[in-house]
Amino acid sequence: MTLDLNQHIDEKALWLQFKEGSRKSFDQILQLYYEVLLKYGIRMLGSNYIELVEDTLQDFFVDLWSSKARLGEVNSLKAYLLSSFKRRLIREKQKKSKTVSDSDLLENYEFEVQFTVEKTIIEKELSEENAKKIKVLMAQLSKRQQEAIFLRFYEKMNYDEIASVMNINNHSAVNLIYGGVKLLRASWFDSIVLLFCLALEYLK
Amino acid sequence: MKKYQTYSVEDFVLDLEFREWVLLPTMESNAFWENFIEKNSAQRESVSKAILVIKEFQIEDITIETEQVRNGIEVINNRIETKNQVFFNPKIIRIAASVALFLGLAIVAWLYYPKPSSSPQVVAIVQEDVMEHIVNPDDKPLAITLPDGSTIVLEKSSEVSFDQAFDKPSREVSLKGQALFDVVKDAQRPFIVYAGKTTTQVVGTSFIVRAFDNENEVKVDVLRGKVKVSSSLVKSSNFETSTENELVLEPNELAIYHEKSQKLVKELSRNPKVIAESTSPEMFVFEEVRVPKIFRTLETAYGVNLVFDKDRYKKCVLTTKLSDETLYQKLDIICKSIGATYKVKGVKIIIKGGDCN
Repeated sequence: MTLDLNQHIDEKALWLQFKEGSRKSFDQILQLYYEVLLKYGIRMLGSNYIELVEDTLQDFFVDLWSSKARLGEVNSLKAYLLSSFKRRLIREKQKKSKTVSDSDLLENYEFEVQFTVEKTIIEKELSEENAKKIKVLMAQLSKRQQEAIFLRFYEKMNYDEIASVMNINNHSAVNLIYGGVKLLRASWFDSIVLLFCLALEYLK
Repeated sequence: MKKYQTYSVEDFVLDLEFREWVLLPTMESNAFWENFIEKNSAQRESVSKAILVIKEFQIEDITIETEQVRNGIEVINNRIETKNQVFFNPKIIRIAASVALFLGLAIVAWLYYPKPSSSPQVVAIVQEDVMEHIVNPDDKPLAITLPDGSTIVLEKSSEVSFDQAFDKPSREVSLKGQALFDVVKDAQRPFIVYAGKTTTQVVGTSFIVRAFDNENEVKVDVLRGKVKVSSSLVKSSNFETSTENELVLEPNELAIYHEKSQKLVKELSRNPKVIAESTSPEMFVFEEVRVPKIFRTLETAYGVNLVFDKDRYKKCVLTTKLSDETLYQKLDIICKSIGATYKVKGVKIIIKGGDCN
C-alpha cells in the first residue's frame, strides 16, 4: 500500500505553474492550504491570537504572490508553506509583544496540542477531576514534542518534512517524536494504574 | 510486510499506513492487516498495544467555520486584484491638458508667422479651461447640478471646483470638505472626485466624500453602485500611481484614508442601509424561522457579510417582527434572543456564542 503519491506529483507542477504566474494555480494552493496554515498558526499562538494569525496569513499569501518569480523549487509544498508561515508568525508575534525575548525565539514559542481523551473506560469511570489529572499526566510532552507529534499524527508528514518545518535534522526529528510517543505510552500506563488504584478505593 | 515483522509498538504507533487502518479501516486495509496478524503472531501483542495508543491519543481538531476560510481567501484575492489595476491619474490629465495647450499655442505661433509662400492664413483660437469654483457659505447644504445632470449636495464649510464646460473625456471634480454625489451613469466618461490625497472613480452611483483640511482622514462612503477609491501617490518618471492603495467599494462600505500612515482601509458603513432592489415591509417579519435563514435575509437586504457557524444555530428558531431598525439594532435583537454577540471586523460582521434553549 502506498500513500497518496499522486498528491506530491501534482504539487510539483502546481508550484511551477504558480511561479510562472498562473493565478489559477495560486487559487488552488489557497484552497489546499489556507485552512491548514490557519489551524497551525492558531495552535502555535493560541486561540487568543486568531486575528493576528489570520492577518499574518493573508499578508503571507499576498506577499507570496508578489514574490513568486523569485521563489525556488520546493521538495514539499506543505513543509515549505508551514515553515515560512511559522517564521513570519513568530516575527509578527514578537513585534506585538515588544519584549526582547531569548535569542533562539524559534525554540521558545508555545505549541498547544489537545489530545482527545477517548470516551473509553477512563472517562466513564472517573469523575471530572480525575480525568483532568490524567490529562495533565498525558501533557508532559515538551512543546517541541507536541509539535512534532502533531505534524506526524495530524498533518501526516514524513520525517524529512517534519525536520524542515522544525528546523532540525532528520535524525533529531525521529528522536523527538519517538521520545514523545514513549512518554505518551508511559503516562497512559500511569493513568491505567491510577484508575486501578481508584477503583480499589471505591470498592473498599 | 517485511519491516512490520520487526516493528516495535512505537513503530506501529507512528506508521502512517497502520494509523490509517486503525482510524479509518477499509475493506482492503482490513484484509491486509488481518492477514499480517495471522501470519505473524509474534507481533500480535505489539499491534494491540499500538492500536490502544493510537485510539487513545488522537489529536483534537480545531473547528474553523468554512465561511471564515472562504472570506479569508477572498480578502487575499481582493488585495491582489486591487494591486493590479492601473489607475487614471489626475496628473496625466493635467499634463495632457497642458500638452494640448502647448500644441495649440505652437500651431497658432506657426500659423501667425508668415511663411515664404503666400498661402491664406488661418487663425486658430485656443481656449483655456474655465473653472467653476463653488463655496458653500451657509450652514445649510447647498445643492449643485452639474452640466451632465449629476448633482452634488455640498455641506457647510465645503467647496468644489470643476471645469465649467464639463465636456472632457472624464468628468472631474475637486472637493474640499464634505459632499454627497449622485452621479448620472455614463460608461464612456468616468466621474472622478479628487479630495485630499484620495481619488474616487465611478461610472454612475451615489456616494459621500469627506475630506476636510483640519482632519487627518478622508472618508468615502458608498450608498449605491460601486466606486474605486485610491490614494494617489505618483511615481517619479512615469505617471502611474503606486499600486499600494486602491479599494473597490460596494454599497454600505466605507473607505478611510489615514493621512499619517498613508493607508487606505475598508470598513462597513457606520449605518448600513437596505440596498436590495426588491424589499418589502414583510421581509423582516419572521415567524418560526431558523436563525441561519434570518441571517441570510439580513445579508441579502443589506449586502453585508455575516460570518457565523450555521451548525450552531441551525436548530434555533425565532419569531420576531422587525421593520426599519438599523442593521445593528436588528442584530442586537436577534443576538440577544439567542445569547450571541457580534463584532464588526473590517467589512465583515462576526457572530459568536449563544445557543437555542
